Amino acid sequence: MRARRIAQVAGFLALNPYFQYFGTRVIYQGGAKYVCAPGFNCYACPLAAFSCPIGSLQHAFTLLSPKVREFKLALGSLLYVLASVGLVGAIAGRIPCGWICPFGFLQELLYRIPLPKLRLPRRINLGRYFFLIVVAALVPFITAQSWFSRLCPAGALEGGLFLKAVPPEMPLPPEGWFFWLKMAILASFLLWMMISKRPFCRAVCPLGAMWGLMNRVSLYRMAVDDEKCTGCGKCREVCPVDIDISEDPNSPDCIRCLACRPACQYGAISSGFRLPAEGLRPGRKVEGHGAAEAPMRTPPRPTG
Amino acid sequence: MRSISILGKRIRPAWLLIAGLVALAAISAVFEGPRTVYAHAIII
Repeated sequence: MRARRIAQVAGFLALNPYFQYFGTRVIYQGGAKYVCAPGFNCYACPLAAFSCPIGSLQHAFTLLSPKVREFKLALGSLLYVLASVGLVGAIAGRIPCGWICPFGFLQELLYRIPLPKLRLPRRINLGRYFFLIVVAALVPFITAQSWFSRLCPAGALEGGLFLKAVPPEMPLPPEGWFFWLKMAILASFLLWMMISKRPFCRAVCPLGAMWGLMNRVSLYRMAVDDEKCTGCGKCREVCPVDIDISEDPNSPDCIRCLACRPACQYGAISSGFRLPAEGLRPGRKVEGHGAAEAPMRTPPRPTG
Repeated sequence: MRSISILGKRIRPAWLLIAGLVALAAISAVFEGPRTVYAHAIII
């Protein structure tokens, strides 16, 4: 847990290292912006060093739009974004969601505020596929406008609010009703984050949707030994996205934060790059290097 | 999800996916993919 917190702080600083902005008041324009960030981080944030993969994806669809018709550029950026996101996902699945993403980190911090909590239904997880296919792809293609980015709460926080607080050298456009609409969306999400576990990641995040699909095939695997699992539910209790890992160890909903591993007193959960590709089945033991990465002990089984 | 067999060798699908995605990234460079992403990122 402590290692993950350190990784999340390091992830925030690694994706937002351009503190020179406070002196220059000019947004970073260096070579790192050729690279899509391994996390949901707005590239309108003055401190951001990398490109937002979802902003770039939408831009590719706006270029593809019948209103723009820049097919060559659209194809290039679409392939580049899909390859960038896909490579991270094929290696690690959703590990960046759990260990790097600054917006995910913010949600976990806000959830610690002692308020009455609201458990979300599982079907809300389908929302992020809607946002990926319809809002981040289809709508930009039809309207030639990046509507997800325009309404994104991460953009409103890291770009909109930050730029208002520390204005750039170039004057900002005047605040219209659209700015206040974005602020209202941001405020709603911030409130939601205080009462539900990582709601944006589960219901909205298109990047999480793409990486989640890669959980099924990625090199990094999760596995649950059905012989050791007692179904006590401790894993779900500590899970920041409220899933039961024993139901589906490589679920697209799992952000691979690995909080469940130390929480399982029976040592039933393991993970690593060398786990058997097909995962563990009832009655099978962990074999190979994966066992060394996640040493298991056999506790006395509950009786009675 | 099981490993698959290619030329008598068992290989995990993730490796094939990674190889395909690296090829895709190389093709995207031909179509100025990284440059397009950069240009959009700095004018946002």
